[in-house]
Amino acid sequence: MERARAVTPPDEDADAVTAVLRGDVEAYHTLVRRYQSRLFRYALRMTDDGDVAADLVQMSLIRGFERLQQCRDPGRFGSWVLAILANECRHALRRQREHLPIDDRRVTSVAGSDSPSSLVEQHELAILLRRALRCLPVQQREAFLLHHAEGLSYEQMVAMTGASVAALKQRVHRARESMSVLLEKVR
Amino acid sequence: MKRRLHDHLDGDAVGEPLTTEELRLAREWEELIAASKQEPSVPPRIERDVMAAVRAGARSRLPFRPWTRRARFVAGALAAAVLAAVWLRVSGSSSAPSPAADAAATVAVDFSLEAPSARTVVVTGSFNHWGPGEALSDTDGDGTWTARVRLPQGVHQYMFVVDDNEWVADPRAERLVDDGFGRTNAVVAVLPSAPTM
Repeated sequence: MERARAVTPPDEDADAVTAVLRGDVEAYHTLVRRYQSRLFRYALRMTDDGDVAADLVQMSLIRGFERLQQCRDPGRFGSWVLAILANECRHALRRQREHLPIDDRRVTSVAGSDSPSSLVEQHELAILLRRALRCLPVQQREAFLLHHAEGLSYEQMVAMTGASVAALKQRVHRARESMSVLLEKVR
Repeated sequence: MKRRLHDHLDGDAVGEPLTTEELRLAREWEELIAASKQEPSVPPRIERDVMAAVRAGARSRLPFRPWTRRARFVAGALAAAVLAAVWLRVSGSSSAPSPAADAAATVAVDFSLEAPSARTVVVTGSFNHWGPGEALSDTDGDGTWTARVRLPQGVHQYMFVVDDNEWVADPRAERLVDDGFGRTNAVVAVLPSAPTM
C-alpha cells in the first residue's frame, strides 16, 4: 500500500522553525495551525477522549516550543512534534491502565447497537474503527495508528518509539488480527 | 488473517497476485484505514491556549509550563492527598489563628537552592499559576540562591527554573509528586509558621 506523504514542503517547516528560533514567536502560530489537526486526530484515536486529547496536544505543542532548539531536522518539525505527542499519549495511557481484554463481552460493546448492514457507511465505519481501537492494547493501538493513520514507515516508527522493526510489525499485525476478530462479529 | 494480506497491507511483495477473496479483504482494510485518516474537528482552545502560553513564555523568557484542566484535576487530587498525609515541622508560635485569619493569611517561606554555576534562579508554582515567578538571589556569590516569598496558607507545588531553561525540583523538598505528565514537582505545605525550604 502507498504510504501517506507529507503535504507540507520541508522548507516551509524549516523556515518557520528558523524564524521562531530567531525570536519571531508568531511564526510558531503557523506551525500550530499546520499540525494541530493531525496531532489531535492521533491523540483522539489513542485516548478516545476529546478533552484529554486536546490537553495532550496543547502540552506537546508547548513542549515543542520550549525544546525547539533540540529539533535536529527543522524540515521535519511535524514528525518531531508527533513523536513528543506519542510519548505524552503513551505516558498518559500507561497511567490509566486502560487495556481491556478482548472477550465476548467487549466484542458486544464494539458491535453496539449498529446493524451490520449500516456499517458500510463511512461515518459508521469511523465509529466502528474508534470502538475497535479502544479494545487494543496501547502498544498495538500506537503502532497501528502511526503506521496506517499517520503513514509512517516502520523505520520512521523505530526512531519514534525505540522499538525494533520486527517488534513494530508484530504489533501492527496483532492489532489487525484483533481488529479482524472484532470486525468479523459485526459483519 | 493470512500472512499475504499482512504483507500487502505493509506494502511488501506478496509473490502471487492476491486472490479475489484476498482482494475483497484488502479493500475492506483500506476503507478502514481511510477512516482512520479522517481528521476530526479541532477544539479552538488548542490554538488559542498554545499561542497564549507561547507568547507568555516568550515575554517572561521562561519555558512556560501549561496548566491544563486535566493537570489541574490531577494536582488537585494530589494536593488533597498530600494535605492529608504530609506532616511538616511547625516552628514558632503555637497559637492558632482564627479561621477567618487563616483564609486571608500569607506566610513568608524561605526558598533556597545550591546552584553554583547558575546565572539566574526563579521559583514558580501553583501559588502563582506557574507564571513568571520570583527571582532568587546569590548576593554573596557562595552558590546558594535564596528568596523569601509570601505564600497563601495551603499546599503548593513548585519548581525552580535555572538560567531560564532548566526545571529543577527542590532536592530539599519535603515531598515530590508526579505532575500527571511524567515530571516531578516539589510540594510545600504552608502552615501558620512555614518551614525553610
